[in-house]
Amino acid sequence: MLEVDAVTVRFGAATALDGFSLRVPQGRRVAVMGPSGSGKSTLLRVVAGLQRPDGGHVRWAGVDVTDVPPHRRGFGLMFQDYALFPHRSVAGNVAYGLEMAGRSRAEIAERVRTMLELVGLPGAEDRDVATLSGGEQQRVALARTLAPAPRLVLLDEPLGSLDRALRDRLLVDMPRIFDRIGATVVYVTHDREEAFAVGDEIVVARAGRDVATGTPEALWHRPPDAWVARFIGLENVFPITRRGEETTTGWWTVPRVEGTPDATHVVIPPEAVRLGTGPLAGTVADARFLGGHYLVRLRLDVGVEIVADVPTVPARGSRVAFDIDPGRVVLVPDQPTSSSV
Amino acid sequence: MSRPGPALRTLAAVPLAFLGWFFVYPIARISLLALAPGGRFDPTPFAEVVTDPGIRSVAFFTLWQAVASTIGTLVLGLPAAYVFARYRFPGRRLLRALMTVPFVLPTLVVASAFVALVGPGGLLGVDLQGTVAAILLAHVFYNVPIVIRGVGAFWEQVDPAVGDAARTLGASPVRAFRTVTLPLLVPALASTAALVFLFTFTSFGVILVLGGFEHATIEVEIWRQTVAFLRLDVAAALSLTQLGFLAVVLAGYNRLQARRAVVLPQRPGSRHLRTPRGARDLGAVAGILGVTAAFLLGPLVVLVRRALLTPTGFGLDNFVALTERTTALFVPPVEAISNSLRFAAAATVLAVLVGVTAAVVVARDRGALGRGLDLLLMLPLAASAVTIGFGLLVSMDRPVDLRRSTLLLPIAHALVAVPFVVRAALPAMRAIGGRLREAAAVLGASPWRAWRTVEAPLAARALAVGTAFAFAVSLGEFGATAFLARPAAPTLPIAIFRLLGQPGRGTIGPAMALSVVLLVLTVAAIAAIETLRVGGDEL
Repeated sequence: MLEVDAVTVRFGAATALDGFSLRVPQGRRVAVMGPSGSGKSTLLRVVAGLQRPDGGHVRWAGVDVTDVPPHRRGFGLMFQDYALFPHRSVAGNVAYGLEMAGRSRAEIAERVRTMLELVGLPGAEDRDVATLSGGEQQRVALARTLAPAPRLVLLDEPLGSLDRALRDRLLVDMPRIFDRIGATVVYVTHDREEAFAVGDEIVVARAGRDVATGTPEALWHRPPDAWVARFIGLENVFPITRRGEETTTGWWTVPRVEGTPDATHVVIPPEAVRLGTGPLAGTVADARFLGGHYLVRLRLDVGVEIVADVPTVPARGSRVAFDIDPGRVVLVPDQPTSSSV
Repeated sequence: MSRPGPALRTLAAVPLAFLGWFFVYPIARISLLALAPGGRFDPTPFAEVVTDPGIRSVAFFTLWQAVASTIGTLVLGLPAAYVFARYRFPGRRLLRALMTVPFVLPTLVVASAFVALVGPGGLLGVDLQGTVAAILLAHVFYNVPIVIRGVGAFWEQVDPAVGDAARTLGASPVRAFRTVTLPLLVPALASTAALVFLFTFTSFGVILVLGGFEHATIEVEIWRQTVAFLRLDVAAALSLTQLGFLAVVLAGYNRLQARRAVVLPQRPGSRHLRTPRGARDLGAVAGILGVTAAFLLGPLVVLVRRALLTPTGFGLDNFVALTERTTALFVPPVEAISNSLRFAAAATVLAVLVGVTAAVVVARDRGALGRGLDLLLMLPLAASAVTIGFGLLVSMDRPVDLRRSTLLLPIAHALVAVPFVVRAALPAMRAIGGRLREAAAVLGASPWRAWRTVEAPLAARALAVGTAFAFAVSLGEFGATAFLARPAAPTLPIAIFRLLGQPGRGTIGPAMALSVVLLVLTVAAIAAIETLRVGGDEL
């Protein structure tokens, strides 16, 4: 189990990490998701040992490794731009960690072959890394990271610079590879889709802090605050006001729902919006086909827009009545608190 | 590209005629002098060069001092190159600019500074003048900036993530450097070393002043054979031999440059810079910068101090003494200032005229004419200044006798400066009429406005940079000048050299004062270049 305990890193006046904590049990995958500048990459550098924290601890299996230099940690880090060694061939890159571990030449050749097969590049040993496509570079970097069988695999935006189709394919391939070798993984990304696809658990990072932790489903259905809700892609986040017993968005009276007393916003998941009948009405502004279902954007007379996830699509510009499933809405505070779900 | 039009060919005639008359023709005359001194083929001068034990030892010394200087330069320069490539700290740009100063200084200023530091009565209290140590110190001082700029700029492009990747894959810091960073630096290291080797191999002024009578490079020997022994044939044979050797080194350098271009994925360097953190980091950065800065700037401070030093404390006596006639010169030293400024002005006009027309042709014509001219333009840089001076000395009697013309020095200086002017002007000349004009046009600029708002400012700036370069080069030129300057009209470096060469006659102080004048003039010109320059590092 990896434990990151209240790690702080400052660069001059700027604070990259501000008491960040994280736990990854053996064999599990945690996706750290946050906007750029939230300290995600610094977190990986601290865990890898490339960056000394100003405060806090990193533990592995209960042992404090904060002062252990990177080459003695046995953690693998895959870099954002891959950082392949330009003066070495594909095999030379994949073999590097094995050479450092002092394996025999035959052992290394065998392991390199296995790893290249694992990432779907069999026979690429002698190629020059400069001739590889972006996707091939990504696979070589993954093979290089995994070759020495690291105790922990750290990945920094590993799909960041790839085109859509390739990214989608690797989003299927990579978790399978991790499953096959039973890797413990910390996966850093700014992309919700990637985080949901790879992470058993998601940690949301904001301004150097861990502001939310939970499974993808838990975060989607119970976001801890308005910022996190918006960041993971919930668009229907509306401010609320209370008048006596009544809680309202101005155009909809929120029924009695669970929520904290300091709630300032209501989050309505798109699947909680049901079109056809109901006390509310709006004009269809646009609709996006998502393959089997639609994301419909309704414009209300008061000027607000609300998004609905529905199986059929009404005509653009038509006026539709709708209703909101009160059991699926959540009341949340505005600013992140250090709560967990 | 189509064949060059008549306008371009007419334009090309200017640099071709200049280089043909004042560079190619003199080299031909040198060859003639070396191979056929009596009008018929005669290998005697070469035989003398090969068999004379004195000349053999000169060649050996030239080689080994260049190798030693190169190693010393790398050893002192690499730590600072590393700090500039990897760290961000207050005053980084200013410090790097300051540390570049030694490289652009005239040789005679460097020689004076080291006389003030380790010469007779020098600040350090040891008299090293006439020893190899003084020569090596001055050479390292002179060339460390090339390492800081050249290797440093390359190092900055090497993504530190590759070193970090090696660390996470189990390599210790030393092993990561040896197996990843060092192999990536090799092309930059090798080409920088070749450049330093070239400069120190052809060192002239520094050796002449600091080397005393015992130590001579081939350059110094060419001068001695010409001026002291009047053996022009031997000097010509030496000159030709050196030219051949330099051609081989330069070819190797070019191949390394070509290789260096392919390896790295280029990234904006400053992204990788980090602030030093922790006591060890801070100590190392401060220590490396402190030692390097002291070594690179200390001698200049010592020079200024020595210029202000009088028998009764500090004062301007040495500067006042510049107006007095001495036995070292036929004229008061102060006249050297106006001489140098006049020669530099003439040389600048010539160099800019030739350099800019050449840059236009090279930029416009991608065919044989442009490429050939580009190569031809670099040759004066490859041949040493001594060869240029010697060549003009032995060839300008015909077809027109220019040996007594006041234009001869400006011509020599312009030859040395033209490659720099071309390098400065080429990027702007390439930009003119191309994509920038199109960009301006789609943004709504008429051709005239596009020229006025985009191209003219670019051209003007390139012209200004070229002018400042030519001026600085001419001010400090010594190798060619030593052959061509007339006693009645010494330039600043010549006057400094003569004053330094009269130990014990009270001329050292004025020599230092005159060196400070030259230092200030040169630094002003270089500061103008740095302010005007559009792009980044050239090296």
